[in-house]
Amino acid sequence: MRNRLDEQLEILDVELIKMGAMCEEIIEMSLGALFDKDPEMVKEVAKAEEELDRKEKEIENLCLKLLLRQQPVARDLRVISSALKMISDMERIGDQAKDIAEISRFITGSNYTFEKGIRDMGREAAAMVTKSIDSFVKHDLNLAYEVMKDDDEVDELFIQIRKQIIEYITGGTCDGEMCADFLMVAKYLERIADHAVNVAEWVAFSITGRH
Amino acid sequence: MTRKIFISIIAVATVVFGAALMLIMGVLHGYYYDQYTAQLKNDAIYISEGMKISGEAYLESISRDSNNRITLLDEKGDVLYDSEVDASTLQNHRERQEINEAIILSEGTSERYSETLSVKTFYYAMLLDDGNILRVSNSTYTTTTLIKNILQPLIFVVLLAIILSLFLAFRLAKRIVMPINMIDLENPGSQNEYEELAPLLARISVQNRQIRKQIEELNRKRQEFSVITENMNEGLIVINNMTNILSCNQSAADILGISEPQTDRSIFVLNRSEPFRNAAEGALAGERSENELVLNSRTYHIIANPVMRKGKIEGAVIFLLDVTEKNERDNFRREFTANVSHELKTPLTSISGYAQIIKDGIAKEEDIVPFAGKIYNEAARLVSLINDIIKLSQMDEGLIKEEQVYVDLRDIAKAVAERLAGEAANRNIDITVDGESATIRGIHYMIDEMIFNIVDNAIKYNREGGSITIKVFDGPASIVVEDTGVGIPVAERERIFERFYRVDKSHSKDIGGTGLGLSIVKHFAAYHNADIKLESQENQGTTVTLTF
Repeated sequence: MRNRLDEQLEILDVELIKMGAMCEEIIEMSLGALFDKDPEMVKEVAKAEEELDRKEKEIENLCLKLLLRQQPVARDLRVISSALKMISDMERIGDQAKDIAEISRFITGSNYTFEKGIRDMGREAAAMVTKSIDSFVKHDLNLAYEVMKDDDEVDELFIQIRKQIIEYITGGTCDGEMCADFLMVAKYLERIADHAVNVAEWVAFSITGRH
Repeated sequence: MTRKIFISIIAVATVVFGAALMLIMGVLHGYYYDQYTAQLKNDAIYISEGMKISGEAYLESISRDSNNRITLLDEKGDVLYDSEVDASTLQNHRERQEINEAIILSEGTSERYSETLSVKTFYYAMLLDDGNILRVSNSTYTTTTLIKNILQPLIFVVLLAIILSLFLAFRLAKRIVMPINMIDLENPGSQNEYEELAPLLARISVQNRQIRKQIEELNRKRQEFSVITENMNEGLIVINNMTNILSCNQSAADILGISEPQTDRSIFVLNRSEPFRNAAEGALAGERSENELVLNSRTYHIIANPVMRKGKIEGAVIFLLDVTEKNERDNFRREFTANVSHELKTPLTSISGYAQIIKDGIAKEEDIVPFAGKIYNEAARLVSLINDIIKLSQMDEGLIKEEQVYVDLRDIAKAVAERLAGEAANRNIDITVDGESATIRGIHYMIDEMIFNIVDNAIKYNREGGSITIKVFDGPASIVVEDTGVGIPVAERERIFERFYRVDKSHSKDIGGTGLGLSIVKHFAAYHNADIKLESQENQGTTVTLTF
């Protein structure tokens, strides 16, 4: 006989996977909005972000219900508490993605050298989110550790992009407003990567019990 | 079990104990009664003898030592002396049973029970020689009082019985159950400590056999199912209403990129992309859903069907079909139709244009002949195009009925080279045919056409003053056409065998041809089980090898 706690933990697992998938999708969409200049995509991102918020509430309720009614201990408790942490990180990822999509409306492409860097950063951040969700789905500790390592690359990219943007601004060879927007996008991407690391850390915690 | 045994033991103990107590009490009671009466009688005789000697004074002295109550009455029943109570206070005892009996029968007995004191008093009365009556009486406790008195040890005994039976019950239960627990339920036939269990064990044996048979049957069915599902190319996943995988075949595992089929986890572990989620969730919401999933640059069609039982959704069956080729074929067909229409329309437009000019009489006299020439050329192009299309469609439909004969590749190559010599000479291209004679079985016109098309291309895409070498080898029979032409870019090599495909689309008109040549080569080669190998170096040349 499968008891109620196990059953609900399974539901939690499935819901978290779904939320993770939504996270991956919203990043893809916001990167699409940024690079392909698709105004429809901006609306889609806004919709997806609302969806993500709803999902967070839903999972949060489920977790609280589980905590109150089942009073889990040991590993189960760890899984639930890390789920609570993970959803807030995933929700933040959704927020940042929405911000990127909104900024993308004001960015009209004009081949700056740092644009490639931002593209790389976007790809890397999206890959990190995917990897962190994968580590959760597969209970793969190594994958989680990889995400933590990958963050250094994104940070490095951010520093480079920042330097390049500053050079453009001091050289006076760019539209200052747009440069600032690009810097914001880069920062958001860097934040997304950080949240991915957080998710990975919570995955590691739920497996090992250490944080 | 322990409880039941305990209850039985304690019940037996209580019943036996109670019965024993009652019996003993009953017997003792009777015995005591007789003893008492005898004793009282003896005492009375003794006292009467004493009184004969010492008179009534004896009564005084004896009553001090005796615990009997001694009463002396006259023949009327009036009390003369009583050892315990003042005689004058007592009433006449004439009506008492023992006195009555003594007067009539010279001795009498009786017993009386006092509720208030709960004692039983035995009386013995005898008629003395002087006519007086001597009565000796003594009280003793009744059975109930006796029992009341021994209540404490009784309780102790009962407690002891309870403890003992508890202990025994435990021991017994253990000892009874132990051999039962030791029975090997897999083969219960041989070892059996209790014959009472034999029918049960026999039944277990039968059921074991039945279960084994059913499990075998189930296994067989499952194997059948898995053989069927494992051997299909389509991915098949069965999930329950919690999205947990119940069954997943190898194809599904391969498609979703996992090493082996997984069960007992959510299907979203395998893939969590939106179309996949929508398909699974749609089916679990009770609706058949179809979605397309792109995975590793292949397209899969997902069909998800709900599984209903008693009007409730119990799960879903999900099919994954690889539709990459189908989609490609669809695209190809669309492209082909567009190409055919275009290729047919271009010459027709020129033909009708020139014809219109001539018809309207706008054309000058001297232009009519060149115009007619152009019309003729375009018409010829149309004819050759339609011929090519017919050839291809015949291949497609499998309508080739020609018989296979033995042909020599080198002879055909030589004939082709001769036929194309004029065209080659126009562009100063040198054609040489080399190698040994190689005989194969095949359809002559097809092999001719293949070599012709390859060499024709070698001329068309050669540079001015280039060269073409045709070499024939035997065992395995093969023909190699080498040119010094423009070569084919790596990215285009796969596509040049497609119908109407041209590497340089802008100059197709200058080069001529229908764009179907290599497509025909490909189909004819496939018909002859021949292998086409293409090696090319851009701007240096191309080598086409046909191996039969």
